[in-house]
Amino acid sequence: MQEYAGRLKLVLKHYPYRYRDYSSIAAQATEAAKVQGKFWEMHDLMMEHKKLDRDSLIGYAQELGLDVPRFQRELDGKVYLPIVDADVALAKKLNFFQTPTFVINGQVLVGERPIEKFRELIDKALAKVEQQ
Amino acid sequence: MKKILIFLLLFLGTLTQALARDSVIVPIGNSATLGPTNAPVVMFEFLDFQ
Repeated sequence: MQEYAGRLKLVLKHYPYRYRDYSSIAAQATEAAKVQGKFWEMHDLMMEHKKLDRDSLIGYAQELGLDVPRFQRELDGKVYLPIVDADVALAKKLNFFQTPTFVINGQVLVGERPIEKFRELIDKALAKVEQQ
Repeated sequence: MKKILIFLLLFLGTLTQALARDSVIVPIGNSATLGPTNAPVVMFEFLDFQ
């Protein structure tokens, strides 16, 4: 992101695998953190610690200084499940069946790829935009 | 001859799918974003945290 500062925007869409224990609750937790202005901070903590059970997520909320009772209430009430489900429906509509899947200015990149591949696609997209 | 035709049909099918995927449009909606709103390049990531 820093390499392309000012020229690249990242948009995160949820695509929790339905048979994994904590995929959906983790996605919902980021949305619960988002309404309190800490989406990316929660995202980073999850990526760093890898523990995604309910207690760990509440621990991250505490660490980030969120309103924990609200976070907990919304998580337990599955308030943000419809948002996660809408992203899943979109992914299925686009025939995406694997995570991570990336779309860079319309170009699809499936799976974890070397950074060079991302540079190649981003540079191509930038060149195309500059030509227009 | 039949095998060649089947191969060609499969190849063209795969090629069509690949070309169609090159022009995927994803709505941003209310999703979390990082970076400037008017960035020339937008990268979507469909992610499973687990």
